[in-house]
Amino acid sequence: MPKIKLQSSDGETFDVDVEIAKCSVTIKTMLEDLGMDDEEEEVVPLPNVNSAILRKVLQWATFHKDDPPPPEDDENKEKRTDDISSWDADFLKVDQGTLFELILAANYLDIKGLLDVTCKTVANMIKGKAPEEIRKTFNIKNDFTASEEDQVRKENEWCEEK
Amino acid sequence: MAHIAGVRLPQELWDHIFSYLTTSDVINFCKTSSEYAHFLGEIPLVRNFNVSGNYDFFNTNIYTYVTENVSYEYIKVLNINKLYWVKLEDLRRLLKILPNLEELLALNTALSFRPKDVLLYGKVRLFIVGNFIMVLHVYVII
Repeated sequence: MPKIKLQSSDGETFDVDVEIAKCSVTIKTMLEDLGMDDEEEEVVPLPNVNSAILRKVLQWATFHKDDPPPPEDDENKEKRTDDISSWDADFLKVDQGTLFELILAANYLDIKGLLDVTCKTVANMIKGKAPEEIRKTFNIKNDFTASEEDQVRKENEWCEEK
Repeated sequence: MAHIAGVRLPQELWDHIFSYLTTSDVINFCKTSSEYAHFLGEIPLVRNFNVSGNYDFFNTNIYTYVTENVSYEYIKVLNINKLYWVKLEDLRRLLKILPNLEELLALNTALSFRPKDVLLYGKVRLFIVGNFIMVLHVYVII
């Protein structure tokens, strides 16, 4: 199988099957636009993804290489978050920094399946929780002062003249 | 700018995450910090106002909840399915001030709606209302 080299932001190169690399619409388009010859060994620089994250992304893409293309989103359909496969759930048992970096990488590389499953994982961390519990989950600092909270309320009153 | 675990996501990616949540979950998230409070003014988030399945909601005044938290004039779909109970008086008050409401979904939420309430809001093209006791699905297209 033809291979290409992907270079992470910190300079590490990865030998990857072209078919796996093409899970990424960004890389696929790049290869098509540049008319890269499959016979030649090309190096594709990915300045937005570091080696640790790229390794994870490639691990995901390798496992999912035979997946059918994900269906188009239907804006009106209620989206489920309880349909994460057990392999993906294990794969995403990572620290929050890695999880959010994976979201950024999946978005940059345009890998819809990975973007959906990482976003669902974050959504599940928010679902059904009160603000204080969400702060604890993500270690968010409450930077509202009492007067600011009043201010937010007042700003929303402008439209209440009826 | 605050970050989560040292990473800052752009707005479009938060929107993607929010697309898996009900509006009440998003409101709770946005209340955690001033960094996220501005999301509540965003049109796509508010257009489909969905608080379905929130069983803590029976203690909440839906009129105050909606008007205090979001730019309610953008609401097109109000989904209050599976809330157990909503005070009809608060809901009537809310329906009167939503200029762009097109759909009201209230399955498995007790409202004791009367037929004349359907006339309350002329522009609503779809009412789907029912409750636990009489599973009465009224589809009224005006």
